[in-house]
Amino acid sequence: MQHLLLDVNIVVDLCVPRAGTEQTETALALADESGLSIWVYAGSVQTLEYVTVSELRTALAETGTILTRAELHSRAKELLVTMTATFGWLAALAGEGGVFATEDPEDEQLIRALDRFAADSIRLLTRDKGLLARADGRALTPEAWLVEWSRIAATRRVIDFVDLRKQQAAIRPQLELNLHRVLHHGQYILGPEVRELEERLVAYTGAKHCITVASGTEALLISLMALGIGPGDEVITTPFTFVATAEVLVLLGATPVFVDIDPATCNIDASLIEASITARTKAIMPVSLYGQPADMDAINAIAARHGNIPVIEDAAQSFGATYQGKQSGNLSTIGCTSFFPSKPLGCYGDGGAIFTSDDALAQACREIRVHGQSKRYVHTRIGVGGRMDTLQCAVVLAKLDRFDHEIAQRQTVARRYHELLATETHGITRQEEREERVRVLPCDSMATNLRLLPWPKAHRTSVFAQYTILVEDRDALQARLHAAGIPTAVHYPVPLNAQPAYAHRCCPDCTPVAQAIARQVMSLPMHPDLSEADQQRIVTTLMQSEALCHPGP
Amino acid sequence: MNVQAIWEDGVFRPAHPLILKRHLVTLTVSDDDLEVPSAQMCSPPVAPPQIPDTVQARLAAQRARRDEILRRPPASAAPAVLTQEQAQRDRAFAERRAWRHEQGRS
Repeated sequence: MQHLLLDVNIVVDLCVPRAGTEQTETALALADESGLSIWVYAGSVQTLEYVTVSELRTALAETGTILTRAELHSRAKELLVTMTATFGWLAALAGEGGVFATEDPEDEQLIRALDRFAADSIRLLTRDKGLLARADGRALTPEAWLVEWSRIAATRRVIDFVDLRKQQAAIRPQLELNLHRVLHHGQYILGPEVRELEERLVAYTGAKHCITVASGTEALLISLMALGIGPGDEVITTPFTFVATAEVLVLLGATPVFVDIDPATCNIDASLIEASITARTKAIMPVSLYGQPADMDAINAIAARHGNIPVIEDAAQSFGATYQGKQSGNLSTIGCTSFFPSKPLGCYGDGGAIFTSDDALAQACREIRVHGQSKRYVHTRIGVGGRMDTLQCAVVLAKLDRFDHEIAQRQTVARRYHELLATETHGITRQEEREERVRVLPCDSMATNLRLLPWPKAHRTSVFAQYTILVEDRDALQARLHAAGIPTAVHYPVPLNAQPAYAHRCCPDCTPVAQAIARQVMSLPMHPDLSEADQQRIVTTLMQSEALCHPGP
Repeated sequence: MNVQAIWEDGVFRPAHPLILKRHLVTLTVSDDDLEVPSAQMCSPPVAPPQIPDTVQARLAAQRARRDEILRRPPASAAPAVLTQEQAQRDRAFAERRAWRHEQGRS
């Protein structure tokens, strides 16, 4: 169960103490503590005000206090603001105009509100007999909820790998407003939100241009097309990444040239790039993996030495990170990012963006994303249908205000993991020493079979799209963690040059570091709202599971 | 099977030791045995669950904020004059209250 919807009488319980109030308060405090979303139905506001006024008048009269009507309303509203401050407001929907055709419109609205959720994910808290009877087992008194909560609390909760519910709760008012605006103006393709998002991302990154596109993959494809990359061309990239990076190259007839990675960052090893440059090299495409920018200064310098080879930073995981004070995505000729939902800045579907400060490339990208069209029905180049929907831009706009806070939260969560794991694996308990070790911890110095990737290099920050560690016997460890309610993921199990679709095109064995790392990486749950208690549970279970996988002599 | 249970301080305890397959089972209690006839409206009080200190602290803070509003002395004794709309809304909600009372609802 994830949601609780409150009937009017329950909210009034909180505002004006009366019989049963304590149970209601306790039930809601425990629900909140357990991470449930607590909703008040927005269509009930007038009823809430007047019922609270009525109950308040009665309660105060019993103590001999008589207030004017204006003051009663003022106090009732203050109580409602105070007591519902942590709750979400569930919007009334257009279809609810039809409730007047039913016997009890007020109840019908709440039943319809319940119907918007999966049946086992929500309960309606009420003291109303009619609703208790009508809601098909989905309605409970606070007392019955306390019994159910005790049962839930006794079972082991599965931790979410990525949990966006708290984020949604925080942005929901702006999110709904943005989506409604799009519904009302009706410009679903290249509407005003597209321009607004592009302007705000230009301001955020410092790049001269931002072109929103249909996905992160589309951002890479359109960038390569704008650079004129095609058959016979070579593009240097990393084998240790999501397949989209190499896929777009092959789609265009170009050849990916895979260069091995730096084990400290899992990003392309800049010191190995130069040896792979040939006369056919038309671009270098580093990926800023796990949220940490690649060695962009070194890569840009190599590109400059070889006739200004364009550099495309795949910043799908690193948008929001910085390198020498500059934003990832604005560190080279072109930067590409993804707004896939689980990304640090995600939408509610597919979306992406291209950043560049080159006017001609920006113009080319804009044309390519609309079928190569320079003006209506004039197709000056080959293009694709690659625009980002107005609705998805409206979602990203709602998230943007909270983005810097979320980056800080991700960094806090990552540092906590690092410190907890350093303590567990090295027995480091002094805070100062622990912080020092977090900065310098070498990859191969761990006392156990579990190793940490070093903290991000100096003068750069990571947005920790993933928090990834290195382990032995990964499958067994993952199975034990899964059984304990802790999900993990592998980013990525096989280097691209060893994937069936790519192995025949390149040298599958010539990136030994990537191959070794791919066998060991394991990502732990990571999101901005991951609690300290959950992290402690993850680390404790991880260490216990690791010990079981590798019992001592 | 029928099971006898002792009700004490809001908790049912089986009269004889029982081993059940599930944590939660349903007991049917005759209306004649209830102090108040509506079982769903007034579920028997349950033993208070273990409430973490953090929740206790939050509850105390919440109650303090509410009580401060409730106990504040009246700001003015002068009754405000109702607008026509306010008076109409008052009558409407009095009507709602009366209708729900007639239906036996809260």
